[in-house]
Amino acid sequence: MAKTILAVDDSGSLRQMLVFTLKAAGYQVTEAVDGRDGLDKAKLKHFDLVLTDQNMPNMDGLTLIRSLRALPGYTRVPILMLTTESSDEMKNKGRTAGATGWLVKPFDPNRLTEVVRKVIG
Amino acid sequence: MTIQDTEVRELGRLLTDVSAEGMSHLEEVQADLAQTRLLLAEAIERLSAGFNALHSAVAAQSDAALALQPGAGAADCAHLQAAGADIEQQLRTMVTALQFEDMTSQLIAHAARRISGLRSILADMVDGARELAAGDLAQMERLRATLATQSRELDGQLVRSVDQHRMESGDITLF
Repeated sequence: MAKTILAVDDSGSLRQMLVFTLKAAGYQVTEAVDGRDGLDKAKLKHFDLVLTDQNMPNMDGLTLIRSLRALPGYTRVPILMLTTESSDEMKNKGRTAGATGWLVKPFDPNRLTEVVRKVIG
Repeated sequence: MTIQDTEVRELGRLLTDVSAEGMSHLEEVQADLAQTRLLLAEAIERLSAGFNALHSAVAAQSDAALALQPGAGAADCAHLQAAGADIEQQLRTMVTALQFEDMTSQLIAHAARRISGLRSILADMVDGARELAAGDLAQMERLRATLATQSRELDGQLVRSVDQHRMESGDITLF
């Protein structure tokens, strides 16, 4: 059975590119339009990986990560941040919040697929 | 050197006019940025739809070509495979390129917020300059202090989140 990924980003075009890339690599992808939507969907269904943007309306990526880590089913689930933010300060905040990795946009489909395979197989 | 009352009033009127003109121009810039964002979103929506349609069409064409393959020669098969690999590479390049709309939109939003903040500063400047034009010299120092404080606050609220220089793909860090 295909592994499931929750892709959280307020940009529709970015989500489309994520869906295209990850589906082509054999994963099932669910989209969420911001952190709050992502958290709601994660509570309803368990995902093998969460891929989230940082700067979003309603709930940002760091808050989403902290909220997910507080849920029993998500303490060990890999969470990758995919964002335009590239400063060491933000990366450290991500690591402290519980992110598994930090990917700076734009993503290359091959490299993204490699990373996803590395963390969830 | 002392400033004459008439000079203070003139200075106040000048500041009022400059601030009001500045606000008016910034309003135009704001409108242009909003329209730019709309057009960019429209362009990317159409490009994304075209991208998906193109991918589906190419996949269908590839399936049809594979169905014909038993009757084809080895050279034709190799040619088909090479063409398929080339299309896949072009699609991957497009996936990266289509993400630039997201970053551009964020930069436009950042610029729009700064302009909005600057308009707010100029609006306060208009109010203060009117009092200066009425002959209140003490208003000069208050205006200077207000301008400095508001500029600092605006800078503090606006942290640029897009600073990409590598266009092929960004850094990856696994913790």
